[in-house]
Amino acid sequence: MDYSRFTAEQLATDPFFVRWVRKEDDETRLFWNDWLKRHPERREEAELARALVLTWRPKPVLPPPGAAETVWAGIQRDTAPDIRRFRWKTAAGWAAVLAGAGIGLYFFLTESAEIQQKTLAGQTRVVELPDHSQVVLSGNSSIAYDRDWDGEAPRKVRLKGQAFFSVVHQADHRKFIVETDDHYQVEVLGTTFTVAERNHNLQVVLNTGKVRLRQPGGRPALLMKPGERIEVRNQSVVSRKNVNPVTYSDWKDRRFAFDNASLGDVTEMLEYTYGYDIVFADSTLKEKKITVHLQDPDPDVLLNVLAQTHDLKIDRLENRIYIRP
Amino acid sequence: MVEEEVIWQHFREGDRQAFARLYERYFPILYGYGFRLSGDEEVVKDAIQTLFVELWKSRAGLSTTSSVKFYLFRVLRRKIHEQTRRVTLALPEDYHLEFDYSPETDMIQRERLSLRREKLEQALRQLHPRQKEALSLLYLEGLSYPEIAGIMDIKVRTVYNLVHTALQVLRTTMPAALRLLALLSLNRW
Repeated sequence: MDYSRFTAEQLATDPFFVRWVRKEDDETRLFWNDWLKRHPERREEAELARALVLTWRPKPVLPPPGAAETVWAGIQRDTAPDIRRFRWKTAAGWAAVLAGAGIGLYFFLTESAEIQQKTLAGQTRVVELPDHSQVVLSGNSSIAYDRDWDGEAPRKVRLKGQAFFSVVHQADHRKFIVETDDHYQVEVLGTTFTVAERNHNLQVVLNTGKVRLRQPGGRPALLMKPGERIEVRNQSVVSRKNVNPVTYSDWKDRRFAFDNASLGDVTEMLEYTYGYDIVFADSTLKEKKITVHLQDPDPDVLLNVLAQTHDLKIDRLENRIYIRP
Repeated sequence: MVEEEVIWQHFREGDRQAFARLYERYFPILYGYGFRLSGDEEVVKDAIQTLFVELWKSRAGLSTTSSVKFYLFRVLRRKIHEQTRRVTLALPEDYHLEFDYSPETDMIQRERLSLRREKLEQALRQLHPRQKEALSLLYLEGLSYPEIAGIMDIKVRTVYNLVHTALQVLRTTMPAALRLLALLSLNRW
């Protein structure tokens, strides 16, 4: 393309020129820098063209808070596999489906039998299970369970991420099991507790009642007492201690409360709940302690408090957060 | 956007995680675009919801697409059009131009610049809504001319003309201010 007679408007309309101004990728940068050297007389026109492109900066329209979650809930509702729809089909419809595709029906029913609930980063959702036990699902997390909990099988929930459970005790003492991808099982009768798992790290904090942590690979089950916190990393228990369990379930009430917690714990909570990826320049920083209570769980405010308290600098690029002295 | 093609592929195979990621990625920009088209929060939310529900239900029949953004913008625009019978930008847009002053720019120069900036903002407001839409899709969203034509339901040539005439207006209305902007951007070049 011979650009030497292009006006500023023509340049600013040219996709190859626009690409350079917008992204400055190598191909366009090399070409245009070279072109400018060879056509010094066109430099002013090119600068003007660049300005024309860059001038176009209307104020961004941001969705109101909560809009993304509301719409997503509607989408979930309208796309959830629903067994009831099937029941409404006419007898003729039934016959056709049964005759036509036995396998299809099998998959249809299997798919419909499971319910999945998911949250976006920073979102909290209360889910009621078939036995009326409650789950408060933290941000960036999901649970899956069978629609139907009749029969004698244990009540089972598969968890990704973090959730607070309030389990209703059953008259027949039926077990309630939370299972993680790494095949750990938290087994309970009726109690309140928090389970958090991410990237093969697992944390179970027991508020009330009694739970048993079943480990995969034939390792012994651990019986937990109220106020205990067990942490597992890469399949081995790295810490077992008594904590204030409320600190670990505070996110569900949408507030932050840390008492003499390490920065490592605080940032871990932020990673679990908000899907951040937090890196410390120096791992000894993780050991610094902090006490902070915030009514409004704004992660930015919390990060700011950390920075102010320990004189740290925090760089943030979307979900990546870098903490340095 | 190779990663995006992978997400799209997984979504077409019925992966709900991929579906959720598509949604998370596109909700804010679809909302921004839709709100400029309709000026009505509820209309945009409804349209985005319908768009994603239909997307999920028809996923098996969708083709591999190299531009997910193009596809979503095009469908969203049609949904909003169906609901409001309006295709032009509804908002009286409040433009404010953002550019960094270099540290050397002194006070007097800054004042002069901000006066010129106001004039330029006036000129921007005079553009036709379709011109603004085309400029936004081209400069902000980085879509190609054929894609913009597909989204706005007009010929490629028409998109080109919309952009070109808009730029001519801008250039002739405010040549001095634009030159100053050019000088400013030169500092960052």
